[in-house]
Formats: sequence, C-alpha cells, structure tokens
Amino acid sequence: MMNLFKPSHRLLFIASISVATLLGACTKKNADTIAPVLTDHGIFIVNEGPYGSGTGTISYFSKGLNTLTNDLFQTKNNYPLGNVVQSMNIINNKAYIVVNNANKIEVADANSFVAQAPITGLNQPRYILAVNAIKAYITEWGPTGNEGAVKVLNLLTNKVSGTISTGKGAEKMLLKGNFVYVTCKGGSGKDSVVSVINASSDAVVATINVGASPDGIVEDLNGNVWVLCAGQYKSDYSGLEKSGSLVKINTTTNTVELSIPFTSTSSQPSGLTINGAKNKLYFNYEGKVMSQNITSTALDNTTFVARSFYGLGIDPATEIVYGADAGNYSSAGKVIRYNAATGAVVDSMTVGIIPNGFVFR
Amino acid sequence: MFMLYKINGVLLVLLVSLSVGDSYAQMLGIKDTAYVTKEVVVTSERLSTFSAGSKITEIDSSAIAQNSTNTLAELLAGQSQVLVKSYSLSGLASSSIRGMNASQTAVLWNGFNLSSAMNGMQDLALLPVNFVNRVKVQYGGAGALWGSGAIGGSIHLNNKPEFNKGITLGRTLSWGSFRDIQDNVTLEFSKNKFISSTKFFQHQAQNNYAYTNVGKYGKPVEQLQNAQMEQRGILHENYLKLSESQNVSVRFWLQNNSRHIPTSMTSSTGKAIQEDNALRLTTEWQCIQKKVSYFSRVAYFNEKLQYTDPAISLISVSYSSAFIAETETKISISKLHTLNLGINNTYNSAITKNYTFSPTQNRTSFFCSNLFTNNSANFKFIGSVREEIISNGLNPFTFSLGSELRILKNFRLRGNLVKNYRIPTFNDLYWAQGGNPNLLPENGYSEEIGLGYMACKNNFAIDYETAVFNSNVQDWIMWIPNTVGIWSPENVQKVWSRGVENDVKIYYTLGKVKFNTGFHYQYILTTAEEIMTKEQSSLHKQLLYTPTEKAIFNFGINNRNLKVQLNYNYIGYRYTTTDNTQFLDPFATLGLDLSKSFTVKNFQVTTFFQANNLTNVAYQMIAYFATPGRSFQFGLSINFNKPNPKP
Repeated sequence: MMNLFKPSHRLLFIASISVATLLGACTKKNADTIAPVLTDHGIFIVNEGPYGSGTGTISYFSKGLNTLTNDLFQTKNNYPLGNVVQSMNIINNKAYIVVNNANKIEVADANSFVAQAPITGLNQPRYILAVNAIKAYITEWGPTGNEGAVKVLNLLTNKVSGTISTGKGAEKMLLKGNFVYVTCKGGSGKDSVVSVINASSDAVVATINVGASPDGIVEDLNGNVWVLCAGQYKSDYSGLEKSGSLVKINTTTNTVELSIPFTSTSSQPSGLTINGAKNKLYFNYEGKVMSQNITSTALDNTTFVARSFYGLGIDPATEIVYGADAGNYSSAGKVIRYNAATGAVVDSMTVGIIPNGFVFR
Repeated sequence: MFMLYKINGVLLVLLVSLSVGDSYAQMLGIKDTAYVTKEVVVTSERLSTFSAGSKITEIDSSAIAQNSTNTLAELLAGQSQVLVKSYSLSGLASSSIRGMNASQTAVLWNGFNLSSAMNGMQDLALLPVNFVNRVKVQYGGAGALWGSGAIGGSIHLNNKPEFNKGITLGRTLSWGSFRDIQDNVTLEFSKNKFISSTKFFQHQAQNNYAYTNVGKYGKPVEQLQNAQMEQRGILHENYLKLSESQNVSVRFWLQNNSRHIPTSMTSSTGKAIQEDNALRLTTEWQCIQKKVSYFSRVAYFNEKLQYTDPAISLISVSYSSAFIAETETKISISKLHTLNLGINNTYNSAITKNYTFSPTQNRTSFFCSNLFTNNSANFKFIGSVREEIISNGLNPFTFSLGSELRILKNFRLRGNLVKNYRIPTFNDLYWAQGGNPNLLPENGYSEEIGLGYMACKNNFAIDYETAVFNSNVQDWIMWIPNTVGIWSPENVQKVWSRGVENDVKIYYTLGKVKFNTGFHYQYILTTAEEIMTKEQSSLHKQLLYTPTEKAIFNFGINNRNLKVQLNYNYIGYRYTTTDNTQFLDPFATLGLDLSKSFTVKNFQVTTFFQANNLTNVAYQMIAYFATPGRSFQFGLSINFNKPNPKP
C-alpha cells in the first residue's frame, strides 16, 4: 500500500490545500458609505439600479457641506429600495420614492431618511406629485404596461383612494392652478396625449393631442406648459416613423399653441428641464444637450454641452446644470455639474448605478 | 471471430492511449471493465483520441446514476468545476468554465453542438440527466475540434449503448420538497446486433420554497411565487450492427418545458412564463476498422421558445432550427501517426418577430488533426486545424497544438496552445433595435500546462492534477448603449482569464468497503484588460458574476449496495457591478446522497435519498434571487432485466 505520508505524496496534498486556504482567507466588505448627513439644502439623486435584478438607490449631495452620501436608504433602513427606482418627490417633508418593478412607493422622513410602511397595491408606478395638502397623484402604466391611470393617494393615510383613467402610459405630471397635466407616453404601447385632470373633482377635463410619446413637462415664466415628445420608432426599429417635437400648451384654452418639430429620423429628444429663471429649456438631442429660448418658435439648435445624459436637472437656486451619466449601466454612474452660463464643468461625483434624475431642495 | 478480434484490437489500442491522459478510473479499470469487450459504438472519437494536452474530466457513472432524477444543471454544479449560474431551482441555468460565459461554452450531444444559433447557449436546466449515459467536461478552448463557442470549455454528453443486455424495463419515481415529482421510464431491447431503447420522463415542481426576503421592509419570510414548472420528454434510440465493423444509429428526442419565471426579491411577483420545446433527430453511421474508420452523422434540431409576460403585454415566439451534417475519417497512417479529417456543415435558421427578417446562416468547416504517438506510447503530440466558411463572409481559422508526456510511470505532463473563436449570435446580429450585422467573431489564444500524478497500489489509488492556464479573448461582444441611447452589441473589450486548478481524487478499499474522496479547487482571475469605450471604470476589474474561487469536496463510502456521498460546494465572491464596487458574499452548501440497492432475481430495486443545502444556508447566486434552503428528495427505482438466451 502506498504511504500517503511519504514526503513526495504529502507535498501534493499540501500544494493543493494550502493554495485553497491561503487564497480563501481574505474577506471583503461592500463599499463603505459615509454616515449620511442630510442638510436643509441639497440634491437627492435617483439611481435606478441594475436591470433585471438588484436594487436602485438614492444618493444625497449636501450643498452646505459639499459631501456626497451614496446608498442612503439601505444605510438608514437596512433593506434595499427595490428594483428600478424610477423617481422621488418630497411631499410634506417626506421622501416618496417610486419603485417601478416592485409596484410600491417607499416613504421615508426627508431629514432622517428612516422609512415607514411603503405604499403598495400599485401597478407599475412612475411618478408622484402632491396636488394639495392632503392629496397626491401617482402615474401608472397599469398591469399590462399598456394602460394609463393616475392613482389618487390620501396623504394623511398613505392609502390609495381612487383611480383616474388617462391616456396610455401615464408618465410625468405638472400642477398648474387646480389642474394636473399628465403626459401619456404610451407605456408598452403608443400614445400621444396630455390628459388634464381637475384636482378637486379628480376628473379628466381635457385630452390634448400633442406629438408621439410625450414625456417631459415644464412650465415657463409666462405660465405656458412645454411638453417634449420623443417621437415614435417604426415597428422594425430601423428609424423613427414619427420624429420628436417640442410642444407649447396654452393652459387657458388647453390647446397646442406651438409645435416645434425635430428633424432627426433616428434621435429621440429626451430629458426636458427648465432653468430657475424659467426662461430657458434644456434637453438631450442627437447626442448633445441643447438649450432653447422659450420665446423661440423654431429650434435654436444651441449646443450647451456636446454630450447627452441619462438624466438632466437644473438647481433652481444656483442654476447649476446637473447631468446624470449612466456609464455602462452596470457600474456606478456619475453626476457631472456644469455652469449654466458657460457650459464649463464645475465638478463630478460618483453616484449609484444608472442615475436618472434629481430632486432639489 | 477474426473481425471481432480486430475490433477489440482497435479498442484496446484506444484504451492504452487513454491511459496517458484520461481519467484514473479507466487506467485502473476500477469501473466495470466489461464494457470494454462489449464496446462497438464509439462515442466522440475526437474527444478521446485527438484531445491530448487538454484537461478532461469524466463525471463518475455512479454520480450520474445518483442524479438520474435531476438536470444537468444540478449534476454539473455538484460534480464538476463548471460554474452553473441558476436564477432559481428550475430557472435558466447557464454554464461558465474558466471565467467565460455560457455562449463561450460548447455543449455537445453525441458530437452535435446544442447551442442555439439565436442566443449561442444551451440552458442546462432543460437537459435531464437520465437521457445521457456519459458526461465529460473538457476545460479550456478547443475551437479546432468543436468550432465556434468552445472557448472556456466544452461539455460532452453522450449516449452509450450496450449490446446483448437483453430486455430491460425500468421505472424511477422521486418525490422531493416543494412538490417536486419525477417519473422516469426506460424500455430497452438489447440484442446481439440491435438495440432499441426508449426513455420517458415527466417532471413537475411548484418550487414554492420559503426564503427571507431581504429586499423588503421588515425582511418577511415569503414563499417563492410563479416558479412552478413542468417538463416531459421522450428519447428513442436505435442501434443496428450492420457487420462487425459497421453500425448505424438513429435517435429521436422530443421535449416540452413550461416554466414560470420568478422575479427577484426587489421586484413584485411576476406572471411571466417561458415555454421551450425541442425536437432533436440524429442519425449516424460508423465504420470502425483497424486502419481506417469512417463516421458520418446528420442532425436536425428544431426549437420553439415562447416567452409571455402579461406585465408588459409581451408574447414573444421564436423558432429556430439547425441542420448539421458531419463526416470524418480516422486513418492510422503508420504505427506512430493517426490522422483525423472531417467536414461539418451547419445550416441555421430562425423565425421571430424580434428580427426584421428571418435570417439563415450556412457554415462549412474543414477540420484535420494529426496525432503522433512515440514508439513506447508515453509521448503524444497533436496538431489540429479548422477552417470555417460562414455565409455572411466571415471565415475564422483556428488551430491547436497539444502534447502529453508520461514521466516515471506515475507522472504526466501535458500542455496546449489553442486559437479560439466564437461567432456572433443571431440576436447579436439581427435583433430589431440594436442588432449589429458588422460584428466580428470573438477570438483569442489560450495556453495551459498540467502536471498529473496517478498511483495505485493494492487497495489505494490517487489521482492528482494541477493545471495552470492563460487565456485571452479579444473583440469580446457586449451590449452597450450608443450615443443616442440605443443598445447595440459591439466588439468592445479584451478579456484576460488566467488561473490555477487543482484536482485530487483518492480511492481506498478496506475489505468490501470502498471509500472515495475528491477535492477540487480553482483560483481564476477574469478581467477586462482593454475597453474600447470611454467608460473605463471596469478596466482591470473582474467580470460580472465570475467568482475567482470555487471549491468542491466530496467524500463517499460504498459498502456493497449501500452508497453514501457527501458533497461540499464553495463559491467565492462574485461582483455584481463591472467596476467591482458591489459583490455577493461567498457561500458553501452541503449535500448528502444515500442509496441502497437490492437484487431479487431479475429485479434490481434501488431506493435513494438526497438532501440539499443541509445547513440551510441563505445564499444568492444572482443578486436578490431567492435560492432554496434545506430540501430533500426521495426516490425508488425498479429495474427488470431479462438477459438474452444463451446461443
């Protein structure tokens, strides 16, 4: 019988096992986060998180302290937000974080970020907007992704109290007076309308035909509402069958006052935002960030920065332009800040996976 | 009689050649040696004769028997160094060898590549273990032998008939946790010159296991929803010995799979369902002679994949088919040289709304290997080349050089240099929105050296091997968003994989009790070394979901008809972001297999028991996808065999 303890044999064993133990000995910790500091003035960054599985996160940049905290929600609550964090809004000093694939809205104190019970029973929620002190609206794509609705939320109980049927794929909202303008992007299907809801009666009072796939919506200093329509792909995706458009709505008559067409048959405009002075629009188009004067009746074609972003935002207090760069969509994204007047880079910071938007307070 | 002797002569030569590089068991003849004299049908000649220099491991036949009511995903995860990434118990299971992904692993069934032309991979959860007899894993690239996709390694599944066994009727029933029920039936008529075998299986499970939802407020314990599955299939095989040197075979495999697709803990419950239906027809003619052998084989594969997700109003139906014709010849030019020459033609087509048209692809490959064996049969050298001509204009050329040397009776040194490639899939080329018809094949070189030691004395045997490899793949295909936000595949990066693998197997016999133990450990770095985009945060970082460390330890006792086997499986850190900022923790699971057989006249009755994840470890294979805790399976197998009357 062969002796296992003969030196030559033992060596083979040791060689194999020692490699295992030596290399297996190291342990790791997931990226450390600095203790979160929430100040009165800062920017929340919404990070969608990786596709398919995983979780989105919220980052916070304190303007006073000039510090960035990533993964705020998990750090404070010891559980993740969930799959595809679509948006966040602050209502009554509470952060409402809409988690699309998880069909829920997480609610956390906007100062401590400690969570309370989430709002459930939603169908692919997208955005939330307070319409008065006790009521908020939540846009939804519905159980098939091919419908559109606005859920009415009682802010005192955080319970859904009603559903308003809108165009397909209800997306972003804008409150003007007592009326809520809802862009209906189509969801999994197609649509091209803005539904107007009376916030007192919760009834749709007008349906305005804009352009294909309306998405971003902002109000300018003259009280006009601007809607950016992305346009629509051909069924074989070889190009756009309907190009994008920038539409101005007269809110007195609820009619389209001006529609500025985009000419590209391949690039969809996206990311509509407005500056603090409310006289200049910004959006992505043809791989660039463009700016547009609200008085123009045609495309200004002014390049602000020669690259595009997954999300755009402008701090109304400082007029600094924020660009969210999702990178390769499977690693930490970046936020790059620009001087609105010169387009020069102020600085950049590394945030969560797939940053898509900003909440300024 | 003379012919039979000749056949055995060829086969004996073959076995001697295996002894240089093949597994310990064959060398020592510990396995049932009877098959040597019965062997008439040769399975994967190229693997056994022309793969010198590669690391090839065979899964023990007892492990295959123990896993007869499992899928290849479970078998390979527990018994090989293949990393099997499963989303859930019956969910998509993709293979990864040496840091490469599933589309860079060739899965061959009796020599035919099963990988779908649409996505370039084979889901291991769809392959039942009881439909194959032998499973071998070839580590490292072997593009010159198997063509596109054999970069990280290749998995060889073979059906191995036995003539003159008589009539066999068998039924295996198993019941497991989460309402898992499987029923296997085997009917086999094995005569002197003819075998007809039919196997059925039916498998269903709820897979509604409980897990702690770490993705939710309060971390509640929940049951997995929408995870139920149902599979059924039939495999019918016929083998006919035309003469002592010639045989033909015909195989027919039909299988339906319906799986609900559970979502991750961070998403709400889904309603998605995936149905995979496959029809596989093959026929092969073999003529095995002392000097020249011929093999001709033809296959027709047809697959339907239907994915339904009501949450996004999606019903996606895809049909794909492959027609494969291959002929090869093995010529013993002289005592020292053996030549293999062959042609393969593969015609793929697909119909799906996801493409703007219905693509077809014709690929013709010419392959040639020459084996040199020295006079004393302790040195081998193989050179192989393969030229593939693809209808879309790409003509990848590949080659490999491999060598083995036996030193001092017990040691063997081997090494190889291989050029590898993988052609883009139909999805990469033609997907409506983003498909890129201008993609180049992934390609690269790999090198490896292995040192093995085998010894056997009286009742003790040891088989040790250490392998060091280095592999580079350039023009690696990835889907990335372009400047206007449309996702499209590009040849974007260079990947460098390198590592060490150690394998030890020890066999020990004490009286009538046999002990076996195995330890397998690998340390592999697979990093992105050059990235052709401006996004550089993943440069020099480990690829997603690719652990650097993986280890298996098993220990078994076999006392007459009682078998006890313990399996310990460790998987190290895996990154979930390409910049390596987030990762999943390492985990280890422990499994136990028990089986006991009785033989009463012509009946053999086996009862078996499996326990998985005995220590009830909560782990994640894919981020936030729930995995089962402790689970059990109990089974009963009854086999009736009536030997043929003695002539």
